[in-house]
Amino acid sequence: MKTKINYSVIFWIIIASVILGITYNYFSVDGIDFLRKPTVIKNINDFEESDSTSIIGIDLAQAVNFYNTNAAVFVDARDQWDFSETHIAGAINIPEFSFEPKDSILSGFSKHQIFVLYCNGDDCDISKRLAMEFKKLGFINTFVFLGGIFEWEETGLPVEKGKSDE
Amino acid sequence: MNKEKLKLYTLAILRIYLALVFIISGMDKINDLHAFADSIENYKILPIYVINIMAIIIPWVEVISGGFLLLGIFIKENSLIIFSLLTIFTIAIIIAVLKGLNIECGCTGTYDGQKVGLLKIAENIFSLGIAFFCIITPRQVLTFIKQ
Repeated sequence: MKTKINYSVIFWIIIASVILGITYNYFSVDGIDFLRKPTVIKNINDFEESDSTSIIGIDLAQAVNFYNTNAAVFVDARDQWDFSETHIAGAINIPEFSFEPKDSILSGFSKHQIFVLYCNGDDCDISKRLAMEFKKLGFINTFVFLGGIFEWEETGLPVEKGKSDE
Repeated sequence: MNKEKLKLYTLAILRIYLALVFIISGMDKINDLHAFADSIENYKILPIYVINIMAIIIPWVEVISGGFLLLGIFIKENSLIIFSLLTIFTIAIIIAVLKGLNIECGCTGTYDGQKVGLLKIAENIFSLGIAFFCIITPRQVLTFIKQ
């Protein structure tokens, strides 16, 4: 009765996985880069409208300024469950995980519309990734509120519960 | 059916369940490598430059090991691979929970929406138990190759 583990089998399974993974990724239309690049976040003060390759991070004061002047559309990049628990009052929900570039929500907006995207806070990246998608679509005035809903709520700024109207 | 046979067939059914979970999970990740790479990044454990390499390779390990486990080929070896993967995943989830990260697990597929948390840890411990018993049980049933 064979009870020992044959480690060479494990070695070959891993080698096969590496070869299949690399080959599949190379030929797949949805393949990814081998080396992931960090997301570049600039300060709003360094922002130029022609800058479409990096994400512009804004702080609470800048987000409040956009909010109070109704200058921007606030977009919650979290999933619909988090959104329905709490979100910035008036924000729309576009979950990053299910975002489709052809999203009908965005078709009604001008390419110069200011968007402020947020998620939970500093620890989450989905708003940054969604911002990159917005930029690729030509929405160059897209900003990321880095403090997210946590900082917004802590400061006592208006929030609301419930599902997105979209 | 005597007690010994019942034990063997119960383990075989659990083994097939574990294999199917890994095959489906792996294929789902292969289908959307971007989302899986994003899920890995959310944990903030690995250096950014190795995230995509892991995202490219891990799903194939899951599918191949799961496939062999389903067919009952090299059960111990594939159970050990799955046990190791589950251990790494569980440690990552525990770290995420301790850090207070409210992120999607990215475990069973990329769009299942399941968050990291105690439920996911409990599920993984259950799966770890199955893999462990598959490693230590010398005789197996419902296999493609006679053990």
